[in-house]
Amino acid sequence: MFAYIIRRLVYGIVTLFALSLVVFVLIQFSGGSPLDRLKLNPRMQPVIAQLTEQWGLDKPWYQQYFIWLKNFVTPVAVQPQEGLMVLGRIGIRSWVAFAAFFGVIAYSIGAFFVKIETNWWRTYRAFSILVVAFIAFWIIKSRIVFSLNWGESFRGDGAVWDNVFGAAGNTFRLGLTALAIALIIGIPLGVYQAIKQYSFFDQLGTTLSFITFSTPIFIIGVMLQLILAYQLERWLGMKVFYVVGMTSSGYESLGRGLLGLPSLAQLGDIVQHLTLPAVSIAAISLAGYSRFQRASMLEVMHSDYLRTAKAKGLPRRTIIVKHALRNAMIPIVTLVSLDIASMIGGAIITESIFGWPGVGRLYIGAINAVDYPTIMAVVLAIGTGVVIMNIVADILYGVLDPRVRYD
Amino acid sequence: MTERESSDQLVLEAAEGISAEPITQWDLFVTRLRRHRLAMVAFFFMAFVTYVALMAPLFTCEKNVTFCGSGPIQMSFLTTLIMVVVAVGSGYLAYRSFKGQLRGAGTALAIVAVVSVLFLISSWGIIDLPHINHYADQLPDEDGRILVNIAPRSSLPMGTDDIGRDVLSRVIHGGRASLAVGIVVGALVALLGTVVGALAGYYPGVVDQSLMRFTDLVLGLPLLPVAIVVGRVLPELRILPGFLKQGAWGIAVLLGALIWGGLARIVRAEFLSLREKEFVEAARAAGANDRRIIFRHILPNAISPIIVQTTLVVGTAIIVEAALSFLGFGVRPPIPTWGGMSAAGAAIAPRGYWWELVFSAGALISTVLAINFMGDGLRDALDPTQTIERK
Repeated sequence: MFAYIIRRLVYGIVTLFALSLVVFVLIQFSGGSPLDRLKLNPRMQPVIAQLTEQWGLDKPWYQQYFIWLKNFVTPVAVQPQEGLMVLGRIGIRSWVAFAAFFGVIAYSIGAFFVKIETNWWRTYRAFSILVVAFIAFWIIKSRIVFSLNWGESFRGDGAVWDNVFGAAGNTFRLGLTALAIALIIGIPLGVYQAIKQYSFFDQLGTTLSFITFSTPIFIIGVMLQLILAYQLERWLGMKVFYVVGMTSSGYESLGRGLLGLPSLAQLGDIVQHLTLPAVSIAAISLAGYSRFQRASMLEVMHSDYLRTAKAKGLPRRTIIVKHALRNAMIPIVTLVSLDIASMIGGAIITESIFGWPGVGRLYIGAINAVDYPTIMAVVLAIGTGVVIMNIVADILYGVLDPRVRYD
Repeated sequence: MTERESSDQLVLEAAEGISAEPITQWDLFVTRLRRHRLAMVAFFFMAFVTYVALMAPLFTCEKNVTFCGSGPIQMSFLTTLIMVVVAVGSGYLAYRSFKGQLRGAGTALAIVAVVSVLFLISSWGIIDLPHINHYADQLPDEDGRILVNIAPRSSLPMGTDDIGRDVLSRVIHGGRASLAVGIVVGALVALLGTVVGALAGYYPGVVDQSLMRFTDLVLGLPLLPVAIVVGRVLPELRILPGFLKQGAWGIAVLLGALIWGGLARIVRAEFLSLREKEFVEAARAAGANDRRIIFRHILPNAISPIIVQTTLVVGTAIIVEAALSFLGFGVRPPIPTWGGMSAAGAAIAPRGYWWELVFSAGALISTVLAINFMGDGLRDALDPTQTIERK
């Protein structure tokens, strides 16, 4: 198992290396240069010369690549920041509170479905590990001040490391909300469809998920904007959902809640901004989850051990929840871990439609300006996410299903 | 069609009132496919979309004969020739298949290949179509003003866009980019995925390991970010020939090169299990060489996952191309694509000009939907163990 993980990690690093090389070469061989805009102005000649030397743009591409690679993996010391810094604009304490809040909700939902697990700590443990890892990461990031030398943005908006991680927080806010929506609706939907196979509701659900699955995410986003934002505003005479940004411009003046949490008005503002982009990302995953859950549930429902359970005279609810659902969830877990990685890809489109200041929008802006330190950083951050989530998916599969062996 | 029946047999059949015509796998496949109503609708819809996209120059021309009133049809000799050949050829094939004279997967593949090649040649027009791309299509009214943002009406079934181009013409032409991407990506993925998967599955050891590590590497690349970078630099790459820089070709090749990995894994898994089967052993004992075993014995048995997966990949490719064009990194603006038109339509839709967005998005969604239904129908029809439960 350990050797397996190590081997997968090595492959992952090779993949990332190849990825960086491909992207770097592509950028280098395109005609564009980050200084193109300056060249329009003849008086900028000395500045161009200086920047060309400073950024090493006059060297051959392979030298530039190795310089970049060396810097990319070099840690740098940064001045310690004041206190614990923020993720997005919300303090770390509120993230802890959020995590606890959602944890309680998730636990209650889980307890409702499973209803057998008396040892709450066991149910809670996996979740607690995630929360602890999350907090530890942000403390390390902001307190012990660890940073890699990812260079300065060519667009003059500061250190790439800070930009990418600032944007990553915003993308996570969007992506995790979308994931929660997709899971909370999609899985019960799939289970219900499987239980009532070939009923009207099942047919409807299958058709709807087929249509959603075939719809590009940008059309969903744009349609949501048109119907739920512009048209609803026209009908009601007031703004219900916003189409651009994470918060309104007057967000700070909406009061301050306890413990660094946003106040009620601020929370409402966040929800008004978050709903549409999160739903548009969630819609496609939701369709996928419900279809997948339906299929895997059906497969389990026809298995021998369920017939045994039925023959023993167990109540239907126990059979479905305790016997069937647990096994039918195994493929879903893998799917979700892979989906988290691809959600970042979907977020590129959604963020550019909804003006969400996340990784995707940072990426599009960097691409347009041939800002290659940022491009490389974002591509590698996403690539690392994909590699790690692939490994996590495989490991989880083996942990949950003892029949799977690693070789 | 089959020559092998002697007249004696035919007489015998006539006497007994039964047919000695063997029921082939292909017949079973067609029977099962016909039962899948949605898939049949999807097939006809895709045939319609493909035909319209192929014949786009006929429907839309310099002065828009069909929809706008006056002006001569202007077509190149090549386009005319291709249209005549396709129309006559597909009519002939439709007649033959209607009469039940067409048999065998080989013939079907030949049809697909011929249509694809013709289509590829004719989509050459994607690269430059002055009357669609460069505003010559604007429609002045009696006072000579340009009619921009005209709502759909009988003479303009889909209205005009914000610089006065006919949306219907552009939706028809936009289909060419999407379908070209779909077909090229499908062909590339089927070819690469099958070859790599087959080699890796058939030859264990070094070949398998190295090919699959390479596949893992390609699968590990995040699709959309890489596609965006390539889409951005494609028109500027100095080393590429011209036709790859503009239009849909470069995008199609790029997507094909990025998403064959999934199919390769599936084909390898099929080969791994089929390699151990008795019929392969029998073939080997009869002295068949590796090439014959791979192509004549194992591949036909692995064909169904290949077809299904390829169909699904075509849908994905069309969506990704549309997304790239929507973001501005795919096919560049004056050339119409459904994704690019959706972006332009989305910009003016909040002001009440909904038609460009709705019609281009509708065309995109229904095409992808039809492809996915085709995949669904093929999956059911290609599975010989399936008991027919659904209507």
